[in-house]
Amino acid sequence: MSAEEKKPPVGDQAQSNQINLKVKSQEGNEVFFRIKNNTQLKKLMTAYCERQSLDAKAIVFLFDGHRIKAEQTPEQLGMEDGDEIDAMLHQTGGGFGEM
Amino acid sequence: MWPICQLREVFDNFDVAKFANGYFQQDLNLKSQTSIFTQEKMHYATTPRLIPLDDEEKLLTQFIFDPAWSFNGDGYMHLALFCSERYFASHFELCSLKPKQWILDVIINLVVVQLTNLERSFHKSNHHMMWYLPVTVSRQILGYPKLAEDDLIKMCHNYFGETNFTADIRHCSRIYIPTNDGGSHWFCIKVDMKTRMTYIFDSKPASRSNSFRKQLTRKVILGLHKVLRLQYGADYQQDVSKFNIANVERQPLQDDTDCQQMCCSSSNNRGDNVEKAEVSLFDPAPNCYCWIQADLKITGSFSRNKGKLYFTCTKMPTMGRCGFFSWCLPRGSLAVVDSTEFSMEDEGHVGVLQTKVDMLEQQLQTTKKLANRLIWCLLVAMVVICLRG
Repeated sequence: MSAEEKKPPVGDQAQSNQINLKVKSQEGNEVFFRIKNNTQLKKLMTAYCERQSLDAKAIVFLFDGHRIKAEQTPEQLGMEDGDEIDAMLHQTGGGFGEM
Repeated sequence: MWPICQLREVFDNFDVAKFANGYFQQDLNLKSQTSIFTQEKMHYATTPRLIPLDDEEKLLTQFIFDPAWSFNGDGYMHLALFCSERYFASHFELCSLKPKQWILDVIINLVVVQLTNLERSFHKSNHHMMWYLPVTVSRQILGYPKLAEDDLIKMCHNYFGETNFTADIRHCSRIYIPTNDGGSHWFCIKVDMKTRMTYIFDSKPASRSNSFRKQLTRKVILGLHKVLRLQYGADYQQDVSKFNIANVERQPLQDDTDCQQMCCSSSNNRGDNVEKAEVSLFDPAPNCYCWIQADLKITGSFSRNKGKLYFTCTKMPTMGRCGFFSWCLPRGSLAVVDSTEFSMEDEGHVGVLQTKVDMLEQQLQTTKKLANRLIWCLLVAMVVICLRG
């Protein structure tokens, strides 16, 4: 499995095709993931949502301010070891009182 | 049913703001059937601004609102329509454009991207003057109260600069920042670098929430000041955090749950008619407070402002004139604080007359329609009478 949780980086990274990514929530909570360079980030997203008991629909993942598509891989986005991904819940608004 | 690839092509050239407008109006039409009062009000409110959807937009409307397209399973993964490589919205998110739904930040960001692209297309040298920032900027400023150096650097890198949403600060005249108030309401902050003012476009002002939104605005502006200072250094000379904050008077107000539409359109054109592209010299007449298209008039020869053009309510004083007043200024001229300084040039007159002609033509058409309907009614009535007789 590629999207397994891990503790902050441990010494040697034998597999060069794996990178560590940090997912940071709005509240500042950080969750670390180790993922293969060519695995779709969908896996990371699903794992994060499951861990945090969140609806996958209600959250947006941003890398360098740009939204991540589920089928993109870290390689395509040029992610490096230790990069940070922001997880943001949708903000919504309309008026008050109703709904 | 259409293939998904076709829909993606559609969305590449798709105007979200226009679409939101279009659907908003359909929504109004639905609402208007329920109450005669609103029907009348809405009729006037929407008629002059009705933008018919073109075929592609209809296709997309059906795509979003046709229940046959509501897929099972997770809405996030399987289908996303792309606005640009970096910003896109999924089917589920686009559904927040439906009437009575609260809109998501993602959609507002799409509008922001499109406005930025539009603005850039007018300024070849990449020195566009109107800056539109995504919701994420205000959100992050408000989300990190301390705004550490790291956060600022990250924001500069993500949203500022020519590869993102901004350009050269020396050419910047206005900055628009859509902002969320407590997760329930959208309003738009406009920073005017020329007049050194900050305006709040709020479609639902209320005395209690106004002061809170002002506080939020102050925080956002302070954050913006820090970011701009970091990003532009010596080029950034005005201190935006020292600008006065004011609510925009005479702004369009929302009916119940449509602040998103107002928020998008106040950054688009409604609040700032003067700053759209020079397609024609003048904007169409604004609506007065009773939601009727205002009438263009010329000041009398005895007044100090002789021969100037202004908009006012069409009703007679005895019939409940609403007191709306606005000078008719050419596009591109800044809001004139002291209106006595403004004088119309010859070139301006042509534009004014053109505007007047357009308005009269529109009136003529409405009258013609009414007359047609009356004739039909008469005919029907006569037939009925004849048959009975």
